[in-house]
Amino acid sequence: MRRVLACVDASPSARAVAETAEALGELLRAAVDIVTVNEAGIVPDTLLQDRGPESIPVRALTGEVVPALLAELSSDEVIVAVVGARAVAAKTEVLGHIARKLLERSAVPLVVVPPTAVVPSKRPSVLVPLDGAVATDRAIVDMVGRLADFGVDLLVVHVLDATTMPRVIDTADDIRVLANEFGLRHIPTARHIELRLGDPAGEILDVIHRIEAEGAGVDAALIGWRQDLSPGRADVVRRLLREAAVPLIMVPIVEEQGS
Amino acid sequence: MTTWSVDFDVTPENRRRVESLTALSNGRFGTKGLLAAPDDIDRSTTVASGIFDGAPVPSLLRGPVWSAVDLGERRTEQATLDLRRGVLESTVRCNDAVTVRATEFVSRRRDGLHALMIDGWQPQRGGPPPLLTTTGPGERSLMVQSEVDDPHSDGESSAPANHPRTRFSVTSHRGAMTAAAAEWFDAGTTWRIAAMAAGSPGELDGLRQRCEHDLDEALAAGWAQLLEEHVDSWAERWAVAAIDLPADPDLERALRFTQYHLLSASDDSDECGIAARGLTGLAYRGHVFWDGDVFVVPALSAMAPDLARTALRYRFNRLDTARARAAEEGRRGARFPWESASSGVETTPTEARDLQGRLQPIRTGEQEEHIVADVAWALQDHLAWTGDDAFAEEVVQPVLIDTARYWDSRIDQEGEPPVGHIRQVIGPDEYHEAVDDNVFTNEMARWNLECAAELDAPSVSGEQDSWRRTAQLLVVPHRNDEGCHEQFNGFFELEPVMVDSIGTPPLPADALLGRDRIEQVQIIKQPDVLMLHHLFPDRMPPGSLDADLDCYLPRTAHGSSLSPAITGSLLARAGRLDEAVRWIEMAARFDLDDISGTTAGGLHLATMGGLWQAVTRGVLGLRPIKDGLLIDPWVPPDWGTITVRVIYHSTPVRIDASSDGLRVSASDPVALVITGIGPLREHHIEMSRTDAGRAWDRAHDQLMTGRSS
Repeated sequence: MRRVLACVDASPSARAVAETAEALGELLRAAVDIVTVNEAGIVPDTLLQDRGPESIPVRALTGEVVPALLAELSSDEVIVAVVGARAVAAKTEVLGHIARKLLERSAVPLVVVPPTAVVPSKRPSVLVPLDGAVATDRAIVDMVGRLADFGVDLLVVHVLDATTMPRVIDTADDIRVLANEFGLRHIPTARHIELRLGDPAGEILDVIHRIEAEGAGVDAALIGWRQDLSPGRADVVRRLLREAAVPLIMVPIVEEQGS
Repeated sequence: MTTWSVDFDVTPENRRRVESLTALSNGRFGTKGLLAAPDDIDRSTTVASGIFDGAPVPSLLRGPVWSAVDLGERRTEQATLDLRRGVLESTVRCNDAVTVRATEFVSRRRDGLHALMIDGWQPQRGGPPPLLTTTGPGERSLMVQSEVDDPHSDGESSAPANHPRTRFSVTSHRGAMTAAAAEWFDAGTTWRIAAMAAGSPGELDGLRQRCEHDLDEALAAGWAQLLEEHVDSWAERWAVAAIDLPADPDLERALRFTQYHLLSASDDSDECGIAARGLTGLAYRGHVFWDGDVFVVPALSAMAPDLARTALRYRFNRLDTARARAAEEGRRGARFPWESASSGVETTPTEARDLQGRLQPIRTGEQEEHIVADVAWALQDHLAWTGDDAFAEEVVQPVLIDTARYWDSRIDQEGEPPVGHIRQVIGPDEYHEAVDDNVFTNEMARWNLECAAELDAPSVSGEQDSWRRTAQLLVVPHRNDEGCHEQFNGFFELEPVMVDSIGTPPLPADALLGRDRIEQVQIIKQPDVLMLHHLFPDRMPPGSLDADLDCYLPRTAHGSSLSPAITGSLLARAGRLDEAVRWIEMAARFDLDDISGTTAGGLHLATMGGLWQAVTRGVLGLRPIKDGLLIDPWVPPDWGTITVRVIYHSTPVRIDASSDGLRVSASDPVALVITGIGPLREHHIEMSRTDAGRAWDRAHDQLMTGRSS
């Protein structure tokens, strides 16, 4: 049985995490399993207390939070997990320590839900920033395939730099051709491909803001990453976690031997 | 290794690019090369010249995919484009260690005929071959797979029986395309023949009948005959057009590759608008730009005048639409559109997103008016190559007259004494918009007026004085102290930023600097003033080519596919051969190396036409002038002997030129004008069968007579 695992605690972000997991479960035709971890192994009364009787019950795990959750994530049934980014929106850290540890160690894609996230709509759209690397494509192909199979609109963004931007642009249609070409090469099922030039994080955020301004909205972003938040790394991830009010589906990139 | 073929190792990364490079076209229909996999249908559709879909901004109508073959996983794939025969051969090694070999072509003899032979593969399903398609906005698509359909039911057809047929049709309010295909398997080989037809939506029934008839005839002829007549057709074309450059096999191959696609871009039907990407892809939506008139058609006028004529008729057939536009804008005469599709109305999009995601207005459709004179120039150049008086009277003259009328009404006469100005235009350099007195536009307009004023056309004799006067009144181009022409009024007042301060060209300077900034600086997109030296070398002030090259090359970003070839051509004219060769080689590799990153969307035919011109007009100084065929060679020593074949006034002419020799052969007498401006120290010139021709050696100021070889 395939499962979406939602990892909640007693913070205000629990509702968003649970609802995101439920939406994903419906989308991916997977069961939803909501877990919380504490030493007593009980579900606090205040946790998701205002959910109706038909809501998915919360399952309590005993032990230390991170090891317990990692053990759950190691199950073959879990195809994706959902965690809150941090407890309180006002905190300066982009990630709480639990979310950070899970992200750095999980082999399963994690959806990171910022405190201000809005639960995905009936027909969600997912923004997929791509760097064009083969390793990234390989990492996200399964998740992209599942999302596409279930009717999610995929919006690809690729940010060019001095080495990848075209040397010749005859007309504006060249941008469309390049974008189309990029999409077909990397995610043929993408509904929309946008090329940008500039700072990757800035341009990706600009795309999100522009789509929101147009009234369409982006429900989540899917990003492949190397699970390294050390200083100087993962700038795009940090900026999106800090500034994008959408859940981030973060898929680990595993480099092949010799690559 | 032969230089008559181009080999490709196909990988998932380069597949889409190779599909364009190996595109098969006969000028009427075009299809991507390589055997399409069943999930490739979205990009492997056949397109037909001049047949568009129903979208607000029309794009070529997507026709059937006729070469889809389900081979399962493809482990390795190689393809060879046989340029001489016009045939694509593929070898595919499949997952179960089966090797499949395929041969495909689009017939040059039979209008809509597509043929495929596959060794080592048998259709899985049996029955009719799939003709798959996708649909776009404004289309009705109908795909029918029929069971065995007895083509002998009426007792009249002689086609082989028991070949089940698939039929296809798609229509939009602008066009229709139909196809009928048959497939059969015998002794380890599968054959698939598809006949296609295209026209207006109201002709659908007739198109279907034509397909059935054409398929019947093709099946009766058989594969061997279809292939032979196709190959023979190509042999005829190459015999009078091929370029030989044995000292540089890579460049020779690239030149023939270029010629192959140029010759594939048009046919000898009633009309054929040559799109910027030809029929090799859907980039630019199949629209026609000045790419066709100024870059491709001149090459065809010399290599295959019948194909050029068809392309020029496309413009002539839309003269009424051009007249209507001029009238709507309060002008006289005819104004051709910057981007043209089926009807001849302006189809340039009005806005697009830039690489910062901002919607930007596109003004070329409104302001890039030099197209009016470009169309006239292409016609006049064709006449110079062909001497076709009948075409001159029927087609060239009306267009020259109406384009002259347009300029006569367009040019603002200001002041006393009046001076003519053309304000608020875009020249070839599209980085600078709404400029006044763009020298390229002005000088093209001046030539247009003067050319029309010299016509022997009694119907317009009353207007010709006005055209002459307007041409004289047009402001004289300003030149700076170095003798460099000012590209437009105020150009030299812009910030003198050179290209090397932002990178190494070619580069898209407008994307790097932004739209606002690029308009403030002197960086330009492509040759603008320099285009005048290419089109009208005799009208430019003596010595000005060097001044303009020195002025504008450091300012040129070459952010256009049209730029490298023309730059190479002019550097050759200026005797700067090393630089010329570098740019010519870049043009030759433009699509083969995918320099633009957009080859997957289709090949750059203007680059190809420009390359042919760089070798002929540039290196050989070869062009038709009033006194005959001018040859003024400046051949790089490393090139050894280059052989160029052209058709001049219906006579095939062969020119063999090196840095120290020139030989001209013609099947009939031709008038030659050979100058010694190039570095020929000794003229070793032989003429074959030109006893009645005259060769004038200006360097030695003596009249040479031809000697039979």
